[in-house]
Amino acid sequence: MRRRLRLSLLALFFLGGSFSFLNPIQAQLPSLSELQPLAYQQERESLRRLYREQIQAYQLAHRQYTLDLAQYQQLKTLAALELVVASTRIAMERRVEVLLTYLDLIHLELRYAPASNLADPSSKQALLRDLEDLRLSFQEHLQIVKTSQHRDAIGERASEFTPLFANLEILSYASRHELLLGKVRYAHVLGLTKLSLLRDEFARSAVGPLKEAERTRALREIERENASIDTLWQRYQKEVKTEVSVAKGMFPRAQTHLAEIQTMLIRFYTLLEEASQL
Amino acid sequence: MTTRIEEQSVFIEQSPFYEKKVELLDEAEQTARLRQRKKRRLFIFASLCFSLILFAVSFLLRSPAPTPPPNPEVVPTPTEAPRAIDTTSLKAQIRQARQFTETIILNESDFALPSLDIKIAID
Repeated sequence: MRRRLRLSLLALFFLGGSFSFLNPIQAQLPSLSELQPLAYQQERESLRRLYREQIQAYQLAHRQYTLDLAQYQQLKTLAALELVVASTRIAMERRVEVLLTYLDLIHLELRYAPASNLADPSSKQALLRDLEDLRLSFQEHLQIVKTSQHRDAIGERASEFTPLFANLEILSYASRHELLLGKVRYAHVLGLTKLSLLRDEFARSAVGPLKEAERTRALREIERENASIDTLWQRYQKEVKTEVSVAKGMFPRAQTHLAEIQTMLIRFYTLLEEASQL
Repeated sequence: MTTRIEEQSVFIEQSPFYEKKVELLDEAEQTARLRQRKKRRLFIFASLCFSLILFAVSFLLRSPAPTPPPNPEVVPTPTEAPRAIDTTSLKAQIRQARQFTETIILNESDFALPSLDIKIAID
């Protein structure tokens, strides 16, 4: 039994080894994400790591703040007040740190997005500027929070935070909408380019009548799929007004529509792939 | 005093036919063992040959160096003059584009606003 197991493992080893050489066929194909420069990937990875750590630090600080606040509300002593002022300040600091890194992530994504990957390339610089301005505001807010030692000062910082966060929400939805819409449009245009190349390829290579009929049928199906995608785009433009798409309520709706278009695009590409084998 | 069965056993063991039988059994066992060994060797050899064939096939089928990717800043419109691209590259490009499309919404969720308490205050 042991010998049989050893032999089977040996056979599997050789088979697996030979299969690994099939992988280079896949590994040689560059993916679109690999088009992003190394600097972008490194910076994104480093920011994401920092973002995760800061979220954890915020959660710890927030927990402490909650406990101290409950204690103060129960005891109403000066000592409890001092404690809650300190923990509130720390929680506020950690919160702003998270948001600063979040802004950096969005800024990075926009900065490296090629013009063709944006819904409106001309708005890229304006968005980047707005993000930088907001980042500056949050940094100033953080400095003031760090120096707030009293209850009243903490109260003022709390009220100053609300409009800053509201601005952040607007910018976040605007940037994400820009990136998402741009990428989906780019994917569609890219697909149409590949379709055109495929048609040229078919025109160049002569095949028998049966295969010609298959090719015609495949192209017709792809065009039908493209027509459905165009219908979804029209519906998107009707239901998601650009000027309000950045608003909190509109963004999820925009996202849902774009997800539908993405699904159809995947089917479009699948049909293209199948047709390219004819 | 030996029993009748024991006597019979002794008789059987001392009989020349018993010795012959044992000899034949030994031979049969040896033959079976040899056959098993041969089967094992054949199995190993077949696996090796199969792996070599697979390797040769994958080596022969490996794709040529990929064509440079399209410049993302310039997306050619369908009305532009077509370029001469062989089918293998086009297939790879289509697959690559499909993979990119599949990750669009997924990657977008990375940029969701963090869930933070915006009402941190003492009052």
